[in-house]
Amino acid sequence: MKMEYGLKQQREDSLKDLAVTRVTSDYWVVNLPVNFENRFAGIGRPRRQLPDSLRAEWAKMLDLYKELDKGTIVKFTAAGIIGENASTATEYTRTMEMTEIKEAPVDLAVFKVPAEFTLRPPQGRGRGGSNP
Amino acid sequence: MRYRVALLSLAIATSVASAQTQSGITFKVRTQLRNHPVPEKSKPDSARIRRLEMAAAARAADISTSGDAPPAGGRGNGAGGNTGVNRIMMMTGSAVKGNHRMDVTGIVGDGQTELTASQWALFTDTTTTVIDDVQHMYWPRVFDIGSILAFTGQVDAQNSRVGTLNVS
Repeated sequence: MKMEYGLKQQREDSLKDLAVTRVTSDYWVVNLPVNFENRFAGIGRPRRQLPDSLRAEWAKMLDLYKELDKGTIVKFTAAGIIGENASTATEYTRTMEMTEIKEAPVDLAVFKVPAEFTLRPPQGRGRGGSNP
Repeated sequence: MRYRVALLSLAIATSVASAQTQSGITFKVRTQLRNHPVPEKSKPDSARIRRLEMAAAARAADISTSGDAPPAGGRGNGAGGNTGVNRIMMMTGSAVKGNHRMDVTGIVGDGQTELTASQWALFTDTTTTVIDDVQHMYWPRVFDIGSILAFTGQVDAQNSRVGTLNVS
């Protein structure tokens, strides 16, 4: 999957081009005995409606998501550049890989927060609390 | 005979109580982020813009002079400084239908990975919770990883600056 998006410069009077992020991502999907959404694979959906001008392109992304939903993303690679034309452009690579996948009985107790643990108060920033 | 039946019942009850298991999977996970700045593709703002900015600042002391860098560092894509980063996180995981969990087993780098060494994460189909064994606390969390989430974060931002999108 190749994705490129441009952000308007923060200063309204800026003469610079859009700050462009460009990434090429590959996903390996396997239909496991138990499938789940791998949150370390960077898949998300916006909460707000996209502008009309972007919806057709986003629809392509949703088509890709249908392929990813056929199993679990067991490997993911992404490489690209963040913020070309901005003050600090950054090249990056990100990878995630699951290995040693085995069927096994799992103790359900491991999916419970220990009773003596307490909920941390909100930290005030970020989108915490739900998932994309 | 009654005694045998009672013993059998007790054995079954003990078995059920001690083994609340479900068929699932176990696995290991390794994540890595590497990045570095590329000055040749960066464009510090022009001298003209700087002059305008200085003039505006002279007229109004409360004018915003925030920079024009994209929010690259804040959502896990990792424009994490001027020298670049190499962050690796290893985890073990287990999953049953509707729930999975990942526990940190090792971290390499500057410690700015999504989870710290004392944390683990619980996932349902719709939620993510981080649990810290040192603080004895837990909290909901979204892992901001990769450019897709950086994009959706921009769309959701109060003052969205998304101008273009191309997908292929």
